[in-house]
Amino acid sequence: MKTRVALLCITSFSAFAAPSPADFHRGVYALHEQQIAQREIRTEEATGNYEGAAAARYRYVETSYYEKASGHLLSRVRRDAALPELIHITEVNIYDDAGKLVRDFGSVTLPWAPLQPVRTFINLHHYNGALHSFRQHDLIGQVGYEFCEGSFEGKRVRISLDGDDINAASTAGFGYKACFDGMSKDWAQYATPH
Amino acid sequence: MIRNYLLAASLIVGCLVTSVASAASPDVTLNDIQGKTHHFSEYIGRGHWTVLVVWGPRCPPCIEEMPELQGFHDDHKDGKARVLGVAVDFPTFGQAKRDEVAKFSEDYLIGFPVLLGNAEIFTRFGGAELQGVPTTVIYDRKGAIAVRHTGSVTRDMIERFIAKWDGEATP
Repeated sequence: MKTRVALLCITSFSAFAAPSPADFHRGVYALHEQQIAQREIRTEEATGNYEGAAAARYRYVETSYYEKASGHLLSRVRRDAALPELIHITEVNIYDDAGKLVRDFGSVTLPWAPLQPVRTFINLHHYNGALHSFRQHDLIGQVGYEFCEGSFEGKRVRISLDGDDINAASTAGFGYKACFDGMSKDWAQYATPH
Repeated sequence: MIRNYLLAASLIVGCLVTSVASAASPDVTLNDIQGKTHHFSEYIGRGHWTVLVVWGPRCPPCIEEMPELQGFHDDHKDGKARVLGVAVDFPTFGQAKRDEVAKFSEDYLIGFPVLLGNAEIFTRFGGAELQGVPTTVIYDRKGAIAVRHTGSVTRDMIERFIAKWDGEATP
């Protein structure tokens, strides 16, 4: 998934009190714990080192949690290898009863400052016939990315737009309306992950 | 998906890695692990380089770089440079816990001075907000900040940095 670098800036936002990034980080992890507690799980684990001057010598263990029955990837958690209570990254996928991914959450911290996420996202997914799309919001609702793939009216569709590239011209292209017109814009209800 | 976030993170790293400032640091008072108060002026701006490392006893890279810093200090403490440690709590960056720091210093045979601090006080001697640990601030012989670096350092990195600056300062 393509993402856009954006440092979090707390700006005024009317009629909605977003949780703090740190609260969101904890909330995504709590949702992960809630999901795996309710299901039979299979896990895969990988270890690694970070690169880059500031991150050098920090190591991680990344665990992917799959639901045994469906095979769905429920979450991925990247923990500090030496201090596993420090969560560097959590991703959580939410599926509907039919097994479709309907939203996913993510929170990313830097290993040398692991309490404050530098990236938060709420992805809302939408399905229209053979099209699957999602729109990525950050914790203040800013759209950072849109993606759609599938087929519409017999033609292949693949749309991948960074937030800065979403404009009148790019949204007038073939398939855009079919991809995104029916998508919920109510990201705020998921600012507290559930 | 995670790989992309790390790409984003690595770009942020690039912004943090090293910054250079020239402003002299104000005097700051901190306690050591025995509870004795020290002024920064005891350590910086006294004709030698001071390598100040901000670290946390639970921060994995901090633990790994300690032998490098200790080796550098041992080689230069009577000459051109000294190491000064300022401990903070990790990961909160709040006030360092004296017992934890004392145990760490004993376990790792830390021979350079270690003071107890926090992120707030770092802004007074570090010239910027504390972005993470370990962070190294190198003060020149006059006590001005020559470089600030977030992330691990090696003895060789410090040696080369100081040699370069000393070389540049030579007429």
